[in-house]
Amino acid sequence: MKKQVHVFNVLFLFLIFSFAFQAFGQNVQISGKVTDASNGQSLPGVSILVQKTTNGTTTDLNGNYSLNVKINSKLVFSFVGYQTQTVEVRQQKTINIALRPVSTGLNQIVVIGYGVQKKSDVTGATSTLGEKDFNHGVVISPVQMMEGRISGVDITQNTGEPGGASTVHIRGNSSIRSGQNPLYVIDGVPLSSTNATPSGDNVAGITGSESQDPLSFLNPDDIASITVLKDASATAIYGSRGANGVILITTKKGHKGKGHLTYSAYEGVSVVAKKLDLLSAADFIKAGKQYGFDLINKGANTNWQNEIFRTAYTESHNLSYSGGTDNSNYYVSIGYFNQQGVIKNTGLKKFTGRFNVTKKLFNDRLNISANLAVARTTDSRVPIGSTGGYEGDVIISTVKANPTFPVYNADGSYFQYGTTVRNPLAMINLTNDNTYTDHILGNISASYLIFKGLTFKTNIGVDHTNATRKVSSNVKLTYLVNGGQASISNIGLDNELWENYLTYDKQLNKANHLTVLLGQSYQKFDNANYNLRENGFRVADINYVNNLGYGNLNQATVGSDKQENELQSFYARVNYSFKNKYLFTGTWRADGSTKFGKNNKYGYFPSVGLAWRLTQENFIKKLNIFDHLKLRLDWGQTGNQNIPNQITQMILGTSADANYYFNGDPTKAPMTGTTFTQTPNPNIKWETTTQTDIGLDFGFFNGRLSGSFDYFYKSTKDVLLQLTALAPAPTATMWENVPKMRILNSGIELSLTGAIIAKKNLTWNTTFNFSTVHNEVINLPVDMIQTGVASGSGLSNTYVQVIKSGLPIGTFWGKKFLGYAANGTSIYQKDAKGNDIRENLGSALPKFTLSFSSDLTYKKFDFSFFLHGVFGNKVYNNLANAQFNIPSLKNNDNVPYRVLNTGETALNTPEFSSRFIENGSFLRLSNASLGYNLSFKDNSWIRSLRIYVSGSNLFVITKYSGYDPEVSTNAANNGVPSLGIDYTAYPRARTVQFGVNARF
Amino acid sequence: MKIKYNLLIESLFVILTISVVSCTKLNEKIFDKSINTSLIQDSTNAPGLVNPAYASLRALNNLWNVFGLEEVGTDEIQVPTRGTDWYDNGSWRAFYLHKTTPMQSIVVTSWNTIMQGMSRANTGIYYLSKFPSSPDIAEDIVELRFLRAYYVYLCNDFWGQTPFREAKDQNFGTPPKVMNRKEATQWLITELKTIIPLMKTKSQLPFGRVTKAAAQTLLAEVYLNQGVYTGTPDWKDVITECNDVINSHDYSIAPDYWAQFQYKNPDSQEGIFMTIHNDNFDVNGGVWVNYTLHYNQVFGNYTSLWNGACITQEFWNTWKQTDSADVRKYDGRIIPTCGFNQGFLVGQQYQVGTRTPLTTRQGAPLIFTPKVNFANASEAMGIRVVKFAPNPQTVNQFAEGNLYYTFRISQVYLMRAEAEFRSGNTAAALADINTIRSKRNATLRTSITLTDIYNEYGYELYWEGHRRQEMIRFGTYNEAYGTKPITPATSDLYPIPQNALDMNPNLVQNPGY
Repeated sequence: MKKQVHVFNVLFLFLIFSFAFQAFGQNVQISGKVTDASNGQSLPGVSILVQKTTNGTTTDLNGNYSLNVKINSKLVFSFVGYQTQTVEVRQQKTINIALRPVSTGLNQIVVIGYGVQKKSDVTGATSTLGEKDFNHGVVISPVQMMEGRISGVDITQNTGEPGGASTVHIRGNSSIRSGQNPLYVIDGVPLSSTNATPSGDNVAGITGSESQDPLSFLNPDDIASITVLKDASATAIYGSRGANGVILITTKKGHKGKGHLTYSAYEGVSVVAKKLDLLSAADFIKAGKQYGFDLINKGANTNWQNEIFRTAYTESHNLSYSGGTDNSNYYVSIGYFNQQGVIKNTGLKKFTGRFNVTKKLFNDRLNISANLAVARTTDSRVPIGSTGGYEGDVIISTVKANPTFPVYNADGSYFQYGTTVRNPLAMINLTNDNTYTDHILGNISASYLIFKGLTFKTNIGVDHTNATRKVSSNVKLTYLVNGGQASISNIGLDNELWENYLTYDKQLNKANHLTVLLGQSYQKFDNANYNLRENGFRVADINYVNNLGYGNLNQATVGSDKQENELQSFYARVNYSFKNKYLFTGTWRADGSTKFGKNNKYGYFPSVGLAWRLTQENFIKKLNIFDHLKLRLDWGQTGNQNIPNQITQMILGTSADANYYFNGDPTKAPMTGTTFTQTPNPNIKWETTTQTDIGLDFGFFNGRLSGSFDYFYKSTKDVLLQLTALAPAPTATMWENVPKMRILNSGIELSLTGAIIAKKNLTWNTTFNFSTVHNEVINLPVDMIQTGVASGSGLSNTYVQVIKSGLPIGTFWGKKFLGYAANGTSIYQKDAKGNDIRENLGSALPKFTLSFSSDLTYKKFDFSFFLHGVFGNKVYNNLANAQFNIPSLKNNDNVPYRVLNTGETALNTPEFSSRFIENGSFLRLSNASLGYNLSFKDNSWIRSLRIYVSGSNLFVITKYSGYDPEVSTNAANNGVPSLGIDYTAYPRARTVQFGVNARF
Repeated sequence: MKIKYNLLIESLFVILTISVVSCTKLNEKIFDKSINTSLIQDSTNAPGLVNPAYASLRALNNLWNVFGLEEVGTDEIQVPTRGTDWYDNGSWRAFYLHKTTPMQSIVVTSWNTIMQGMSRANTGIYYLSKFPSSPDIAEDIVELRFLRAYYVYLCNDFWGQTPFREAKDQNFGTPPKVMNRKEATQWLITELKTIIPLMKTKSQLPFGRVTKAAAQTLLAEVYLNQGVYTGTPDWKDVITECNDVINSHDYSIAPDYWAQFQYKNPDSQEGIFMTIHNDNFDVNGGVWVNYTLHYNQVFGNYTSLWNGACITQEFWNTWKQTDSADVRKYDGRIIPTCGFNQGFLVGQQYQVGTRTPLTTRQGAPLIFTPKVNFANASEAMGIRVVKFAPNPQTVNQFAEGNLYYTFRISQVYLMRAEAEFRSGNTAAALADINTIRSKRNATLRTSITLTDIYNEYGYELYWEGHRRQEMIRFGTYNEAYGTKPITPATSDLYPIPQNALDMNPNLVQNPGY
């Protein structure tokens, strides 16, 4: 409090001085320093603008500024995260300003569904990340920017592949079949949940390449904030799409003032973070002798991992220009990003452009704003599939490759031993797999102030994605039996939005404040796909996709499909505040979708939230402990409608497996057959999740310590499952909203932010997040649903994961491995009668996750690091199960050293068991960076410059034996997703980057 | 304030207008599928409604489907665990030990395929019945009724419980009734007797369609197994039906046994009920050779071979009771193109073309031996079988272009022989057995025992999907062999798939599971 008084005095003095010299009406050179009112730390980059002009400047890295202004003008000091201050210039030469951070003032404006709200007025559980909170390092998508940063949001990067997708779970798993991904809303436009990664080719058993991150089209440098809506009070306004949480992404806007050019760039160097400790050629032969195997020895000593991995370089350049006046602002940016993967021939390249503009007209009554983002992404990939076939994809072929095999023959061609053993380098270099994705996201909105308090807003948005994947596999690959192969597959997604809403905001009287929102929205999602595949290419010197004429057209296959769904919604929200002490939020949404059955066209999703700002109560104020203290309580229902199109329809169709020779001519193509292609269910509707949340937001010691705590309980009913149909029925399964079944999630979330040191030259801020979720499925109508399809030879028909009543989603289910018998075969837990028992082997869901971030500044240096940990989860090491055992060695496959001398012999059958379930806990130093900030004189051509060096994934503390425990290879069974399975995951990189951020 | 309210009303009006204008009825638009169209309204599309029920037959002929239920777990096919390969969640071991589980994927897949076949037949019958009646439509419906009966028969044979819907029952939300084994057997007899007079003969129909003889053979097989199904055998009716088929003279035992197993759907004089496959169109492959041949027996375009299924030593021993020159044991006509023979693959194997001896992956000579250590077989253990000749130049190595026989005429002779023998007419039985043997370069028998008939079934029909029924009828299914102990009679039926059981309250799990 003392500091504030001090600041006030200073300002007051300035005002008096100013007044005294008012008459002179001349220019004056003002200089000063801007500091943080809470800790006295200097603030670089604060925008200082002469009101109603474009004249302005920003503070340098020491918080200093100087500016030539007219006397009597007003200076506006503004900075993200701080309250804006306006000071009138009189005759003073020096104006020092202490800005108050909004986080303690609680005036921070946060984005909520269909509007913004003061953080202090929010009754729901939301978390917001600003620019300074984002993850650093080589990040290409908003999802990676927030991994680990928000309690209750569990993000797993599925693979280390450039552009690889992440699994995002907000507050647990509340669905089985209908997707667990949250709804992403970018500048007010909800995105489609349809996967935009074309499936690519199926070459020689390698199928199912992992999906790429759908948000990678966004340039991380363009993102201003990410807000996560977690509980029903916050998400219910998104109705049937809110159950998995909502992530609102806001892109940067221009600020009032002269245009600023910023340039940021980095160069990164990556290597694979971990190599598996596989036998060398000599040890391979030695091990063979030890076990009595006569292993094939071709005399070379090849480290196959070294052959496929490389030192990879990443470069990123971003240029943006932004500025504005009183009634308009603009932000334009272009970005170039080129990331090499640590596996040769992989990488991601993207060009992005953004244009955001806002214009106010008619005395600021009409506000038009437009955002446009365009991106072209090129993904270059190699044959890595979620199943590798029996012979294996690149990853499997690499780890199992016989180290005595040479890479090349004497004539320089690839050494390819037989047709069943693959040379991974040949696979990489003789395959050409590129996905070209064009993405355009644009919206234009107009809001009109009808009269004070009442605003009408209309928003039109379009989101278009066109992704084409072209794969060609060269005829020189000896495992291609039908010659070279080419495939072109395309996904086209269109999403159109039109929404209209009225907001009425009224301070009714001194005590009562009311905000009412009433709206309607219509959104249409289209997807149209095609694919073609051809083999029989005999030439070796062209990329087949460039001229399909070289192949065998008789062996071409083609296909296409097109689907559409519409969502029509009506929604309302009431925010009421009494004496700024008691806050009420009520929301309601009706969602109608073409996906729902005719008997259930509309779903209704209500929520209520209450908050009590205890710090407004005298008895709390008297304690003089809290800066702020707010108790939140809310309840609501949200839905999940992420189910396939057309499942409610009686569809007669044709499919290849219904064709036959009615005409009796088996030499020709079969005649088409007409039958039902699905068992319709006209009653299908959304899943409903009912969530209750109780939370506490608090701040102590003048903002030195703040945080929030939440407990939530979610129960999902009408769970959508593809259950066994009541046969005889047209198909084996049928979609149903299962009665009685529930998916329960409950947990706690804690977030603490502390300003531990706040000295002039030294500051240290830390944030700690902790969350835990308990997940359980109850009243499943069937005994169990199997998923987690294991891959590898001898592992057919093996499902490692189950969904079963009383257990969490992601439970591994199988035999418990006890060790080896004297003859080297496995011993498993048995029941009293000597029968095998299958049991719960643990869940892929973590028991808790935590993260710790630290930001230290000392004079011109800044140092920050971010630790992220996941604990208590299990990972199924499918790669080890398929390959890392003694019988594999007998097949001439390489194994890691740890496989030797365990007591296992070639008599053993390496079946799935707890032997391959590993502890997946880890603590990762996700990022550490050291920066140096240079400041320049005001008249310099450059305003500020930061140079930094930063390291990503610097270490991982884990007991996991595979490449990385943070992994999720897709092993879904009939659309039931799997969790925590590691088979052919692209290994993660360790990266050091050098970068520069400059402001001109 | 007045102006304000006007504005409010105006703006609300604007929004309401917008909302109403943009309001949609939310009827789903379908762009890529034909719904309720000419397909089911134009009677020229009738063949399209018949094809699907036929097409489901193709899916059955696969180790991982009904063929697996018919053969794996008998002495004709075992799939031993070979090092890292073929453990497959214990599924093959479970078949071998007759301990399949309600979650076993082959059991589940077979159930689903059979149910789909039944439903496809019903869909066809349902829509064809709405067409203006004509002789062609009537014939189509009869064929579909036969196919439906065949799927009911399979379900009844494997599980003894058959969920059944009438064709007009299109309400898939309600559980169908379930026929127990006796009821389904009775239903089959009644249904087949109804449709047999309506069915056409081979010469009246295009190649590959189901005939009166197919229905009679199916009826004969129902009678043949009636003792198993209901406890009351009916040998007399077996003989009656078989007589009808044999005396129709539409079918005869071919002089060249192996001609009918060659590539390209040969016009077989033996085939009564068969499925057409065509590898050029890559539909539901049987992968006949891939799962039995050793990894290194590559030939033509076949490069992915899996070294799995083989016969048991016990089955091999039955061949000591026939001539070593019995043509059904070995045929060399595909050796030049494939490197291996048809029939049984025993002893050293050779590379195609060069005829150099092949080795295992460990470098040992690739010599297939009768002895198999089921739990941990080495690569070369087990005699392999190639019944259907592959097309070395195929572009779809997991499909085949062979006719698959559900019924051949020689089986009708075998059934009649068994029924005659069991009714005490050994002379008639001997005559039928010798009719077959005379065509197979096998010495004619002078006397006959039940075991001879049992063995003759094996010689004639091995790897054609009949062994489980034969073993159950001849009482050998539950005997001990290899490391398989004596198994309880309850293992004659497979377990009802767990998920089907969970959904349909009219099903109950079979005893022993």
